[in-house]
Amino acid sequence: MTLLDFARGPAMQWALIIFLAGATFRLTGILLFGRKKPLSPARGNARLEGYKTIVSRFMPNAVFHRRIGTVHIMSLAWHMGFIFVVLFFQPHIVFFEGLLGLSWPGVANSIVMPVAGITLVLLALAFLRRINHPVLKLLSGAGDFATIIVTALPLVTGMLASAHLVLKYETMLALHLLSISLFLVWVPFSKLMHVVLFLPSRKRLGEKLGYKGVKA
Amino acid sequence: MSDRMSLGERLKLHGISRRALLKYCACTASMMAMPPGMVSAAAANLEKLKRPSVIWLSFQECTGCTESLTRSASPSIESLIFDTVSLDYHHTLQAASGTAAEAAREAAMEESYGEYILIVDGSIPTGNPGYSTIAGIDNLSMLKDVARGAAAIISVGTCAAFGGLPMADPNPTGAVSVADALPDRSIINVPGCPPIGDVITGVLVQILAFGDIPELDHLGRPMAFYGQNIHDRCYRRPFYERGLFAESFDDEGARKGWCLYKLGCKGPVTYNACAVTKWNGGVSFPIQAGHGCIGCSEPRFWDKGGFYQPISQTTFTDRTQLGIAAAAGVAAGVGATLMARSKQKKIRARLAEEESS
Amino acid sequence: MSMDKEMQDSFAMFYGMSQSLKGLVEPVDMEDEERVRKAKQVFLNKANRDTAINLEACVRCGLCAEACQFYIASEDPKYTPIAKLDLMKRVYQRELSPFRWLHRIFTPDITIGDLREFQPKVFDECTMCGRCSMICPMGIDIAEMVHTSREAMVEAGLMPSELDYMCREQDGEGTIFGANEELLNFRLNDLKEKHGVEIFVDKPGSDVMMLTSGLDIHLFTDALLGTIRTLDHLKVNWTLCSHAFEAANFGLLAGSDKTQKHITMRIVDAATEMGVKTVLTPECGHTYPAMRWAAAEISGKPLPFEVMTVSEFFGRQVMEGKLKLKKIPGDKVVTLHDPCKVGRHGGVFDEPRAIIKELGLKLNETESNRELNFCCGGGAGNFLVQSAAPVRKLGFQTKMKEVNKTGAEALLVSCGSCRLNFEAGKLNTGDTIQVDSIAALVGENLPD
Repeated sequence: MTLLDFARGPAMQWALIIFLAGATFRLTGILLFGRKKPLSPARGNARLEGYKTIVSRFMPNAVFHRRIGTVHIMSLAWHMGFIFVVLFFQPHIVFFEGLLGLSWPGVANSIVMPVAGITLVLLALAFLRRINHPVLKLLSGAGDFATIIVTALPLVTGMLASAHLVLKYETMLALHLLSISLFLVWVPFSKLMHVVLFLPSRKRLGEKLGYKGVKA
Repeated sequence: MSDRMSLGERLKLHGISRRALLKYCACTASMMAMPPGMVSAAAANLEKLKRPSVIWLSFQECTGCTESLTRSASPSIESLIFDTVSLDYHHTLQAASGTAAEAAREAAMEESYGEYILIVDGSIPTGNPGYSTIAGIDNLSMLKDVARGAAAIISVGTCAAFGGLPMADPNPTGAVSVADALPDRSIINVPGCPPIGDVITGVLVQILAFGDIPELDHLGRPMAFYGQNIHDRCYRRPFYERGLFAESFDDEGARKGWCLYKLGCKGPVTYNACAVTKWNGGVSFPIQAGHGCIGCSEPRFWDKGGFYQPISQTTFTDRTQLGIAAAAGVAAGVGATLMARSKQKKIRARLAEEESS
Repeated sequence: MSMDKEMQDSFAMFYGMSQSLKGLVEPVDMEDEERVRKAKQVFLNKANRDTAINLEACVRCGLCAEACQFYIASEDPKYTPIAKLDLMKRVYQRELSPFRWLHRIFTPDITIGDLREFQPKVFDECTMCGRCSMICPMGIDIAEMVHTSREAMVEAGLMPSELDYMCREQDGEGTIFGANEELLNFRLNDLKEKHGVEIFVDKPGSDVMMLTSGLDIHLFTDALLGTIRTLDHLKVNWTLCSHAFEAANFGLLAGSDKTQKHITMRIVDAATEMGVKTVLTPECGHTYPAMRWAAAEISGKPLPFEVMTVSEFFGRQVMEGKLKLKKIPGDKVVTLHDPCKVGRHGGVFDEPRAIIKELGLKLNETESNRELNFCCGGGAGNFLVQSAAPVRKLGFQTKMKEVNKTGAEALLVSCGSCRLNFEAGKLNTGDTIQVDSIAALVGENLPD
């Protein structure tokens, strides 16, 4: 079995299994904790504000722009760039089609590659910010740095594979697939779970505030 | 006989000029991406060459490799090369049969011991010696016997080079490649299903002309012919870059000659001369004909998922397993948190007790 | 209106009193292991789905610091809001989270050293204003969990002595700053004599039970007077309850569950017994969420009355056209401070604004207003905590920067402790903006 066969087959198989089992385990575990129902009469529509907050938190309120505008735009750009590359690079669509049976139109490599490059630069900036900003220095642990590395690897290997650089394509493709497997395995055990948890977390704040008639 | 005449002499006899030989050498050299200076050196060596003895052994194979070799445009200089070597044993091409054929092989082995070239096509069954025999001799024994006196061993075709189709899962005959059957020998692999005729002769010429083993890649394939990635050399590559793909064999994209990646083309992970040398005297090659590369020059190409499965897809497609994994995760999550909540309950009971006391 | 001579004297006295509570009670004596055990019990008891989601969702982006008034003024990372939840997070991770068996390997247990280290982080250095939640991309409710962390400190006997003193006084005498029934009656009679208002105490069959606070009895009598005047003007059938008039709830501020419950139930029981339709909380920020949102949970069933704060009550009358006010002449420009507990944690925004409009004042909003408002700097009882003084100053700076930018002549506020903090802060920084009570303004501008 070649490295690529391993990466395409058993590695991806086990990564997907661990990812799914781990993520559902953690999510179910979290969501099954109890919570008391509020007994006071509500002032606003809690549920509506909950859903609104899921969306509204993509943009910070205007009063925060001066302090976090740049960081926020960069972080938003990073997330959008990453999602764009994951979802619209043609070979990726083919990957999802094989797995999910769904497919959608893709974008030319000449667009995807620069986006991937910018995305990687943004991630590097995030890393620099994490090691330099006093608040982030205080908050960051090994897991935070590991997450950045685990997220960067698929981008780096993917770009190199696509450009047929450094190693042979099939080796790079194998490394790319292996790095994705690593990413998938890392999700349930790390803060990468925020890709799902941002939904209930935002929603709850929106509900709590919305119940009191406050816009979250 | 004229067996010991040099190639140059034999060419003259056939009315082939030195100019034509040089042209052939230039063609082969450019195929192998050799510097121009090498052309005259190759021609000079070939001219001087005495007809070496070649023994061609066919084991678990389909004769496709021989077909490919003989399908090379005729009359051609390549076929003359084969006139030029002394093909002393070849099931399909030799006139003799039975005892006479085997006698020819033994004679050649004895006469040119240590000098003859051994070419093998087909894989060797190790499961049971009776699976494939020639003149009562099992393949492995014959291979070992002939290999002993061979100056060079060339595995032609993917079966000989990597085990090929006979070795494909579940490998009922316990087939192995020549390299696996002869772990102590260095083997030149000329894989493909079949290999391009010009590549088979090209490799042979390279060995004859330079008298040594050509530069090989990590799979024992001559770099001159297998150093190029099909995808890198593919004339449809620009469509890949532009994100233009044929989605089926009869759609607009297929008609327009767009990239066949989504139809499972293995070009990006395949090394062969198809996109450069092409087939049938340079007329076309599979991708040009509208079908994706199946990666036939790569080991275990038969077992790498479907020919029509794109390479970026995982070969693991069992969604039931994923469903089970998710269900198991949910079940474990329920258990874990019920336990955590019972812990909370105990603490609350204790707090209530502490408060009341 | 600025403080008159009488109020200035009262202020000096009250301020002095409020700043000298430190050490009045003995620190709680407890074994270290017991402290850790008790703190953990609180974390484990209070953890629920919301905290689980929130603690698991944090990506450590650090943006919460950028919303914190203390961080903004100092750029000191020690004020980072989410970092205050570290102890709670560790207990949750090790004991309750789905991956607890993994966390037990990598996450250290909490120690007495941790508790002592985090004590100032959750008391002095945080007013639980909740502004951090408004910037958090994950929507983490940090203030609520800081409150839980305060509860853990209280159980571990690590409450600041000033707050401990207040809780014990409320638990024991039921008063704050000694403002008992006697003092209340004195004040009420004083107001009656000087201003001719009608006073109702323990009047059966009342519709509205009004609460007041030691702060208003001692110092901000203008707010008390304004409320009574307006209620009389509106012909509201109101009363005070002689044994449940104190609105302040230091249990809620300090994180003492027992005190909070005790104080809440005294009011709930009295109001239920009297059969009132409405409980009116005074200009005392934290009383509002204590009664409006938490009281029903504490009594375990919906309240048989509704809860409103004065600015909300009067504002609603204005919005419904039932309360007309005299216009204050001179196109006076004012700005409004939304107290965190009434605003972000309460939901009262439009009512005070309606009053300001009705008064003919021009409202220049601070850049951060309504649910994004900055705390006055001294919320959550921090005004009383001596060691919190430097941090309070930072918060006050942040607040005043925005206030001063509005160019307003007066800062309106309907929370006594915010008002107190503004007055005290002004002394420290030399700011001169006039700070007015909304209830007092309403009372002064009732039509003849």
